[in-house]
Amino acid sequence: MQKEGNHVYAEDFRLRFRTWLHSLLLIYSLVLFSGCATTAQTNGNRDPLEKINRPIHSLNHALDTAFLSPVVEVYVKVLPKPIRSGVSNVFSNLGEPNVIINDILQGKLNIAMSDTMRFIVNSTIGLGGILDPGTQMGLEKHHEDYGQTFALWGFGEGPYLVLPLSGPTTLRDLPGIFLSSFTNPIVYINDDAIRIAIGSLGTLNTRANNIDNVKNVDESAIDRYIFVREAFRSNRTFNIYDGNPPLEFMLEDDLYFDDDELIEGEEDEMEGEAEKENTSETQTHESEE
Amino acid sequence: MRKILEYLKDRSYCDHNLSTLWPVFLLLICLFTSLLFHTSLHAQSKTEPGAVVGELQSTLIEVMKKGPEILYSGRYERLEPIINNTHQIPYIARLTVGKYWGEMSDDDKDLFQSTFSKMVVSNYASRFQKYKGEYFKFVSEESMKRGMVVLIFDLYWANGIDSTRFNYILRQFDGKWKIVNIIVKGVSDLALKRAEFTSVIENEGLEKLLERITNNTDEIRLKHEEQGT
Repeated sequence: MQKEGNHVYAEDFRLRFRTWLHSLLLIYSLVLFSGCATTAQTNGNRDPLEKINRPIHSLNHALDTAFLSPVVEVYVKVLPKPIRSGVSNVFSNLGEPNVIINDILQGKLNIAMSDTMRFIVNSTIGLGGILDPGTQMGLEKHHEDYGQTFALWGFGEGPYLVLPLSGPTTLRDLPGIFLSSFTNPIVYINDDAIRIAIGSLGTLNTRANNIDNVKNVDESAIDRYIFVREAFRSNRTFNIYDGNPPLEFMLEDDLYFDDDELIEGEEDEMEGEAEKENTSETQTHESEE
Repeated sequence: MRKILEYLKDRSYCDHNLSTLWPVFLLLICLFTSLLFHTSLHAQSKTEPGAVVGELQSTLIEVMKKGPEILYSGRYERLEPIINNTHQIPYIARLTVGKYWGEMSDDDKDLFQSTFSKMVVSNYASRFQKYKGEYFKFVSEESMKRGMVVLIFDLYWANGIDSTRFNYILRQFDGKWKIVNIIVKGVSDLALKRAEFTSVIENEGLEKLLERITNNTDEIRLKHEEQGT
């Protein structure tokens, strides 16, 4: 009786939470679509929330170093690579419906067909996604999400955000976190313990897949917060353009050719050219006179 | 030219007046040679940036293969001259600090450039430490405005399926092509460093930046010495 009461209470709480989440999403969508996201970006400062983001970034990093990283080290050492690959494949396969929806929303119907085939093949022949025969059959893995879809629809990136216990995102990417959960089968598992266990394994798997990336950041970063922010943003742009961003996009002119930052040789050349121009102008004036 | 046309009209002309045609042949040979020379120059200018990137990549693969034997110090020693030869380090260093370059004294500039150079080499020596069958595959070469060239390569990992896109940006300095930036999977190394360095200078000053870069380089060296890698 007590158990039944608890279950009803939990179900009620879940429903209330979902209603609250949907209301939050609706408000957020109104804010995003009314143009606040783009205004925040075009006001000049690309990181207006740095003062809030930095401490959260430091907290996340400290928690990761203290708790998650040691567990991941053990996970990588204890489990043989084929098993880790199998786990990774399963989670990747569970994310395919989300990719397919975004393929369609982006108008990439051929890719949507290919990803659907991939999902079917890997879910059946690939034993629920443990194996990846899809790739061997030429059905390439794609990485589409709601953030990329919103970008393609013309929405601005909005301010950079760092979420507690999660990590970097942007205002534009934020709804994708919630929206993608609706197509994730794990969310619909009724048994809380199983759902939490699978969710934790997913977190462990994601962190293990990025073990080298995190090590590289720790090793190379001079200002860790800025490093992660810039790398995250650039990589998002790279993914939005499906790995082929226009070269002009990557070559920010001011980065290479600020007029006040010419190298010495160029300064000499410029001076030489200016002198030439002056001489020719003088000659022209003289001839005119 | 008229003589050639006449010759084509009347082949018998050739038989009787061949000796009078030699200046025309000479002219044609000169034209052909100059055309060939021009073409080869054009081709050479196109391949020069490729050769620079090729030198870097082949050394990286070589260093990775020998990595576990020669360890960090050996990789550093082998890479240092190659990186200085293929990259325009003083130019890159200058761009990484943006507007603050103009506020630095000459001594600070020299110190910053040498500190930055060590950081670049140490990062390469640390990252390219083991060979697992990776290889670079050329994708394309494109000319950009103001004389820049972009070379696109894919670095294929051991499985031959997964790859990482590398864009090398080069420009000429005193007639020699040099790498000024590398963009890996859309992340520009130059933009990343510039964002980091200018942020540190703005909040904590140049001295702190120099200290952080030096510490970073020392930590990388110590880590590899401790791990014997």
